[in-house]
Amino acid sequence: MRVWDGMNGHPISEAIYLASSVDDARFSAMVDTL
Amino acid sequence: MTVAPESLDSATNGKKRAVVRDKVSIEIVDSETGGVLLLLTKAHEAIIRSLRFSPDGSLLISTSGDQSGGGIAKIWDGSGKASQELSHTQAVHYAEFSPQGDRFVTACLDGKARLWDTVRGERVGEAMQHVNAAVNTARFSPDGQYVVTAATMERCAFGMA
Repeated sequence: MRVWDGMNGHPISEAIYLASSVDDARFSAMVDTL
Repeated sequence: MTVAPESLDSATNGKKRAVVRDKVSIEIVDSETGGVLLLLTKAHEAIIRSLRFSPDGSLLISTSGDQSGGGIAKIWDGSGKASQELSHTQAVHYAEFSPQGDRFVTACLDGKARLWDTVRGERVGEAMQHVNAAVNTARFSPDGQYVVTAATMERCAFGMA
């Protein structure tokens, strides 16, 4: 996963590699913490 | 509190609920009565992959592939007219509006997520590129300041131990 500026798409983070796949609920929970 | 997300093939906004019917059509129903408010028959050529309402419920965005191997995101207004049709080089797996509704983001299997201006239907900024990966989803943070993308099969930067 990667994090970007929501106004212009500029990269904020390098790629974040996860050891296992993330289901939709967990992904949403991660986004909600931003 | 985090609320479990809706499935990709349905969306709810207040009293309205949109669901995929027969893989390529969209039905908008009154979520309280179940009455059909609008039926968009054959809204897409290929299987609809996602549906999401704008924050105020006035617009709906749907995504799919197409028969030429590309993809498309369509924005529907309250009358059932496709006010914008945005072509992509491969299937569009997901799209959603920003919390403010002024932008939306599309996640495409070509490895890119793209920001768009809702009113003008024009691209905003540069494509958000993953490497050797299909972008499965792209979500705005609750304040709209960030977009987080998730992709599969991205080349790992670390060697095997």
